[in-house]
Parts: sequence; structure tokens; C-alpha cells
Amino acid sequence: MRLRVLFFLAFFGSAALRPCRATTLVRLSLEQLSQASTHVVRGHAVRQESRWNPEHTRIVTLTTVAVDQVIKGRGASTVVIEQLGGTVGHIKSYVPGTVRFFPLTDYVLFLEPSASNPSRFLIVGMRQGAFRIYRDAMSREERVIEPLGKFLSSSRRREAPAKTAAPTAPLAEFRQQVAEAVSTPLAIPSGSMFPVAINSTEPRGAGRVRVMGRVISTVYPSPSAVIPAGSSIEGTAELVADVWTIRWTELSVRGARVRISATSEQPRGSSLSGKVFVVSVR
Amino acid sequence: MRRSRSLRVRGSLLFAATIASAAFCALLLFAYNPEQDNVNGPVPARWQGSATTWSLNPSTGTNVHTNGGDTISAAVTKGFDTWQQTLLNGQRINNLTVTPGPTTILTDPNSADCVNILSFVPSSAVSFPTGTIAFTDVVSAFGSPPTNYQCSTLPGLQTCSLPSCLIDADIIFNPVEQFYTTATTPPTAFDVQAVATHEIGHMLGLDHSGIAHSMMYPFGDTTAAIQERTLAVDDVAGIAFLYPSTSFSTLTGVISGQVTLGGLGIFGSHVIAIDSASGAAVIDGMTDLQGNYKLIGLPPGNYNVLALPLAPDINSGIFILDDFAGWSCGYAGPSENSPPCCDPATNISCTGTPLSNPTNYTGTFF
Repeated sequence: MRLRVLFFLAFFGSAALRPCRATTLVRLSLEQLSQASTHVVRGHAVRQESRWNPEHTRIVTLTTVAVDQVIKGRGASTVVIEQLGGTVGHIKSYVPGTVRFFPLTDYVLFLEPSASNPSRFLIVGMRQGAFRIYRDAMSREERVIEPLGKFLSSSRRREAPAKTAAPTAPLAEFRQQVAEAVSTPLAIPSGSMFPVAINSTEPRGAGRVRVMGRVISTVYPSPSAVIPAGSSIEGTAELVADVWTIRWTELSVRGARVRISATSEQPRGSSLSGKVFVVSVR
Repeated sequence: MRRSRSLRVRGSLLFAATIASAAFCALLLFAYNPEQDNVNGPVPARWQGSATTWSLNPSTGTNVHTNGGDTISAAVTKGFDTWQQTLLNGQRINNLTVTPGPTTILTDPNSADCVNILSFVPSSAVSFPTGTIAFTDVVSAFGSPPTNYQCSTLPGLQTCSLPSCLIDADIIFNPVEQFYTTATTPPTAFDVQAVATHEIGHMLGLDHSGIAHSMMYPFGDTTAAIQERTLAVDDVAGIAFLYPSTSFSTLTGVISGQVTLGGLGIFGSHVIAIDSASGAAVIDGMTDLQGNYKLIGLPPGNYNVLALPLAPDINSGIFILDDFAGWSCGYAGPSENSPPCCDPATNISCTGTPLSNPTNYTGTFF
């Protein structure tokens, strides 16, 4: 109960901007798409297969994408993207928001590993993370189509009203924006709060332990930041007057490490492992 | 408003004609975007008999907060009632029946059991891309009727007597997002009833809408603490289109016509009926291969029809429905920062910033 109250207070107290027309998707900025991705690639679909899973409970579509260019992440010649849904025979399973790939068509894709099968990838933000590329017939210029009509603006400009009905942009301009987003360090604003669970501890001398945990809810501390669930966090716990004081020092989001300053307390008694805290960043 | 009035939208539309494959055609014929299958042409998928049942798994994790708010069951039930009981000008125009079944212990989507579940506690076998609040796995059986299909929980073969039948739909909430049932929701969390109502729209056969203030819009940019739980006209018309009552055709109208450029029909144009008084986008749709469109289920009133380009060029890169949903004007509320869909030059009640492109759509269409 106390934890739930803390969650409530934490989230009400946060200055984070979030879409509140709650539907299927959180609208992610280019910065957030980049942060949540382990890989950002340009590629094209070379094979696609929809099939029932071995338990015959779900239809899954696997799309093999040939990677033409790596913008973020380690190089790979192909990636396999997993999406729920597909058509097998006269049965169609459809999850609104999923991407329908077209053959011989290039995309810029924001990818993260599937939690259930890390050798496969998910598209970050579902359809938001797949930018289809086409070549303008008149100018011969390569352009990208903004998924779902979202505008090619960073979060800082997303308040601008619609100025065009054709949500496309030159690929070169988009690439520049992506490059900037990928290279921009993740910044966690002061006052950000997120729940973490301690996974393990290591002794560091008398009354001191190193603590390692993970973030247990996806948090959007600002329009240009996201902390996906599962991100790791580290700190040091010190026992003083029968109270553990944990000083959180580092957060790791998709391999990008961010220094943070936050403190949690826990009365001595039971093990720190498994304990859940709401971390408030100073 | 006269019904079934054909329009021919003329004028110097800015965009070029597109040539599309028949495969794309299946995606583009209807307003409010029903989920569709292709059976000798696009057909919307529906529940047979305009009826279905649902079962809630009442288990929740620590990410679901009900203190001071509804129970999960109450919030979800309100979501179903919203669709079933919705009225247009005080009249019910759909004949949908959704019935709560017994609670379930099922946690994961199962496309083969013909049991429609809502679960807040999916197993680790279910993956959610970052940014996903919830999803609905909607399963249909399609083909020239009758089509037989199997349900793992039922003996023998089942029969679909429609070109496309919805046979299973499971709604799964992301266990790493925060959900509340209170009337106001913290800015980093989501309202169970609002999310459920959107997902139930999928369960009943609706895809995402391009109108920003509709329930079926895929997402928004507001920071309002109160999340929308009610339907827009686009949603009301959409569900009535799928499950019409006898009064649907008498209480609503149709605007149909053709979008042309240089005498040729324009495929894939986004067409929106805009309330001429308020400037609010009411119902949208897209043109077919011949440039024809039909906006079905409009309440009585006067409308402007706006045609927008979806095609960036003549020969390649045409937009399809997957690329679409860029409609961001016409939101009447204070929290969605979008202009009304109107032209101040011709409408003195238009107070917002008009669309700048295309600006030269011509005429007022009724």
C-alpha cells in the first residue's frame, strides 16, 4: 500500500509530459525512439513469414530485413523482426499498430530486442519506429514518410500545429535528426521518479554493499527521455543506525550510462535483494 | 442535410494522381477504418449476430492502481457500455450486444480459443515494444461464405456466414506501464477505462482513426490529467456502420463523391467531413482507385468536405493507410493543440489557424 501511495505521489509530482489521450501508443519523440533502441538501421525486407507458434495459440510474423546501413548498434547483415499477428490460410490475426512491410522498399527502423526471444527484434513504438523511404519521382530525392502522420520534429517542436498534410521529409534531413538524437546523451531531469527493484548485492566492506537493480516500469521523464523497463541501475548502500541508505549513482539505458544522484532508505532487517523503491532523482 | 448526396470535388488540388495496386485498395475504402479482409474486394470484419462476450482476468500487478477509483471490472464494463449504449442525438443507432462472461484465469492472448479476454498480467512470453500501452489481437476468419474454422475450446467446426467474421479478440495491458482507475490520472500513467474503451473498439472491429479527437486515434500529445472516456462522432458512426440498428440509415446521412485532378480520379486521397459551423472534423475516409469516397453515418448538419493529399508523388511512395493518421486539426477541446479544420476566409466562426496545405481546396460542399 505504501508503495502504491508512493507511486501515486511520484507520478503526480513529476513534471513529465505525457500523452494523456490514452490509447494504444505513447507518442515517442525521435530522441525517445533512439534511446529505447539498441539498433537503428536502414534496411529492406527480404523475407516475411507468418505462422502459428508451436503451441498453436498465436500467429507471429517474422520479417527478415537486410541491413544496408547501421546508424546505431553493432553491425549485422540481417535482423529478424517479430510482430504479433499475420495471416495463415483464411485466419487473420491483426494487432493494430503493427507494421506491414513492403518488399523492395527501404525503411529506417528503430529496434529493440524481444524480451521473449532476444535473437529477434521488436520495432520500438510499434508503427512509430518504422520510417518508410521512397524516392520522389520529380526531384529524385529520397524522402521518408512519417509513421502515423507524426511530424518530423523533435519533442521540442512537437507542440507546433500541423502545417502540412503530407508528412514527409528529405531523408538527408531525417538522417541528420536521427544522428543528433542518437548522439545526444540521455538526460534525466531532476525530480524524475521511477520504481526500481534490487536484483543483487555485493559486499563492499563493513556495513557497505554495492546494489544492482532494474527499473520495473517504463518511465517517460521528459518528452525527450525514456527509461525503458528493465534498464539497470547501480548504487551503494551503507548501514547507519540500523538503516540502509542507498545512494544511486548510475543508470544504464540500452547500454548508455547516465550518472544520477538519488537516495533511498530501507530499515535493516530483511535482505535488500528484491526490495522495491521509488527513486527520485535530485 | 440531404442524404446520399454526391459530390464532385473539383479544384486545383495540390497533389498529383496516384496509381495504386489492387492490393492496396483493400485498405482504403471506408471512413473510421473498420478492420478489413479481402474477399473479392475489401470487407469489414464483424462479430456474427452483432454480439460477443468477454471475460476479464481480474488479477493485477503493482502497476494497476484502484485506490479511490473503480474496480478493474467496473472500469472495463464501462468501456464496453460506452460502445454498446452510445447515442447519436439521443438515439441509439447500433444494435451491438456485448455480454460479460465469467472471469478467467487466462493471462495471454490466444488466437485460437475463441475466448475474448482482457488481461493485465501477461506472461513473459508476451513482448511489448517500448511505448506500447496495450494491444488487441483481433482474429478473423474470412473467405467466400460459409467459411469453417476451429476453436480450441469448442467441439467441431464453427461456421462464419459473413465474408469476414471476428472470431477472437484479446486485450492485453502492458505490465510495465502504470494504470489508474481514478477520474484523474497522473501525467505519467494511463486511465484504465480510457485505454480499455480504445482497445474494445479494436475488439469490435475498428482500426485506428485519423481524427485526433476520436477514441480510435492511436495516440495524443496532451498533458491533461483527465483522459477521454467518451466517443467522438467518428467512433459512434463507425460502430453503427459495423452493427447498424434500423434507425442508422434514417438518422444519419451519407456524403459521397469523387476527388479528381485533371479529370482523373485520385486514389488514396484523405477526405474529411467538417462541421461547417464548428470546424470540427467529424468523419474521415479515403478514396478508392477511382477517386470515389463515401462518408457514412453523418449526423444531420452542414459539412464542408476537405480533400487532402496522401500521395507524395505520382509514381512511387504512395501513402497507404499504414502511413496515415496525420489528421491533426479539428480538435475542439482545450488540451489538444490543434487548429480547427476551417478556413477563416470563408467561415467567420473559424478562429484557429487554418491548414496551410492545401489551402486552395475550393468551394463549400454540402
